[in-house]
Amino acid sequence: MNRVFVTGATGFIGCRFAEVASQRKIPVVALVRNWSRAARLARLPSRMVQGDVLDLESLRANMKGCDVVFHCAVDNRVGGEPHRRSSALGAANVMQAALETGVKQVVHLSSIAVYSYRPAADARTEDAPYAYCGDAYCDGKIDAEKSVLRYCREYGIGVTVLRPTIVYGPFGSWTEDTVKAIRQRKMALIEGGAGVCNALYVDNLVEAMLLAAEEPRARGEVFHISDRSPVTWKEFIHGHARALGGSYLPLPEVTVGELAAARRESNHDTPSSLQQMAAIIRDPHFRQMLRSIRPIEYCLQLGLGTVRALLPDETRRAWREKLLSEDRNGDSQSAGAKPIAPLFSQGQIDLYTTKVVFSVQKARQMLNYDPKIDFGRGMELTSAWIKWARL
Amino acid sequence: MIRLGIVGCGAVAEICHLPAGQLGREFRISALADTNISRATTLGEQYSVDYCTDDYHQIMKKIDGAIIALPHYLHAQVALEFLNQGVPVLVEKPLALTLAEAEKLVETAGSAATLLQAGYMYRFCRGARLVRQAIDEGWLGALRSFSLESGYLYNWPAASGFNFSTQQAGGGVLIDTGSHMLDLLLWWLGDVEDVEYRDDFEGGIESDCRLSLTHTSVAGTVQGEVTLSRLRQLSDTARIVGDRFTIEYDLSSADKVRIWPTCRAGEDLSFVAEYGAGVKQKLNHVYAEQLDAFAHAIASGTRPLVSGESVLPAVALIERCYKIRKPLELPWTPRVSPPPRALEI
Repeated sequence: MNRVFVTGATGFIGCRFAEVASQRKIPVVALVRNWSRAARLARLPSRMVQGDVLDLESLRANMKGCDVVFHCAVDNRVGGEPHRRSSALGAANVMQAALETGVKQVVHLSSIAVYSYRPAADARTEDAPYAYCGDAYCDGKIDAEKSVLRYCREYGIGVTVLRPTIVYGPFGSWTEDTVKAIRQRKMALIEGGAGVCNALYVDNLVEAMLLAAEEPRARGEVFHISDRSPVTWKEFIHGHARALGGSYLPLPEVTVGELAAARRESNHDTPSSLQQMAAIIRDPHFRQMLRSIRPIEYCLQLGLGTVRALLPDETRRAWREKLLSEDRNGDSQSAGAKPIAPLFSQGQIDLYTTKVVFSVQKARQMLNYDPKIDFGRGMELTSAWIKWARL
Repeated sequence: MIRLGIVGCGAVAEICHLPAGQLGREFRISALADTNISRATTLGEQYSVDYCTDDYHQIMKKIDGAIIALPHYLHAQVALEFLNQGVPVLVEKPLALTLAEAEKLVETAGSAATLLQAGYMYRFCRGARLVRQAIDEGWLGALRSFSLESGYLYNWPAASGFNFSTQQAGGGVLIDTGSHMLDLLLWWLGDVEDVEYRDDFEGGIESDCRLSLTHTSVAGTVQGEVTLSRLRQLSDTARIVGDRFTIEYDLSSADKVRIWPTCRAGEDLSFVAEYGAGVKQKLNHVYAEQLDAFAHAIASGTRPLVSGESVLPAVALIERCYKIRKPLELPWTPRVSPPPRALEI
């Protein structure tokens, strides 16, 4: 590889890829949509270029001279149908730009989510059928895969699709979210945590990405990428809890039956429109986006000024704390008061109770994929990061 | 009323200086200059600024003082132009990318008898002033140690990517947040005798760094650590431990300071100290006070509270750190020697 182009380079996987590539002296052109997320990437000698996978021209302009593209971008700005559409459009734009600029090979990061959160038993191998399920993330991943594979068939451009499993590790959302849920005492083991967690340490995935780019036989092929052997969800969650010092153990346990009963009672799975609005307002990206629209920023300032003038300080602080800090604050003491069961969505329940083990046999045979970091070592490294990051 | 012009309408102008302009007592913002004229005009309309232009030379004759809020690499060059025209300047931090540039600014201001103020606004925070007073007046007893942590998940709404370019920003978190923090420490504790510096640089700009410092002053020698980060939420505190009392300043606020007897550390014996008239000082007030002080110095012909010369030690310390940098241990990943810049395309 002479020069590679990475989308999603400010994200968890894209940035780790750029780190490893830089250490191996592979020049990286890194696409940056949002500068406020670029601090980690900026440590590297990568050439950062401003653009967006939804902006074809920005891809065309910056992909020139690169021989391999790693498409890792996921658009988290929007959910629902817009998210699904942007996944497919982003992938199509990446392929179109790659085609026009003479890129030889594209490695497309998909996901096992193409089988939905409740994969059928036959999903252990890559030839299992797609499973549209109505979830924007899952369905978007399917649409994107179809799009890139169509480019491979119709235009002959080299494409390899990787379907990573549960990718964890430093800076990863699986790690951050699991730690946060444990700290906030919103984590429980469903059915004793006996479900299969197809954990994948991020560095193993990066190795697979590099192998996929170099292997001519991988063109047009799809590969599951996971660690050598899976763990249980109990092992995965306990591993993260131990990184916090173990004081959160043992974790509460809950059965699928109890979860179903709790949902019927509380109807928490479908949050009220007020709860949905609060969740949106809590989202920092949404707030930043809102502030970037000048008339809205002006109205916000005007409104906030009025609120400040009218409300006593104490009341304002209490409101603000309630609205904004719920997700941030660590050790919530309310675990005993709040039933934990309604905190799980159906998708999470499906994921935490699956028994499907995704086979990496094909990647081992065709890519010579040999994941070096097992779960024990992966959690050692992740725990070191958790302590450093003071999660 | 002193007329101030802002050169560079990026995030700091939008978030800090223009809102502060509405609180100022001795000045008003009367001109904006930015190569992106639509941005200058939009902000100008929002804040009722008289004159907006895409050429900063056009405002030199229209203002009594200029605020230089450009990407770091332009600070010295543009400030020099204003100083040479006899226009007082307030330069955002860092004063300059190198000590030589900063000294040239100070020298030019001196020979042109023009005012040069540095935008190191933490020195206007009541909490920081209280720490200084506590040290100067010996409240804490003999100083034993200090620690300073400033870190958050980077989310500065930069209008461009200059902040991540070595050439344009001069570095990462050290020259950015570190300009404020090291200036504070030098202001509180005196000159730095010895420093060890480590960061996570791998060929770009650093996002996390640690300094071990030894300060010396008439009060004696004191050692401590500074940690700065754009990748993790740190405590955002500066703590100075004396043998009688410990003082801790909350860096995320302007005026929140706690003091407790050092021998009773860990007990709930701290109390919140207050400086000023009892009215809470918010960060936008700090920016307004900084600009008021600038305007006052222009009007009265007196030395500014934070002169360019007074921040030279901070500029020098940062330059020294970059020269002696060592790799910071990142326990989850082996560090390799930073690749040469030639890797950049």
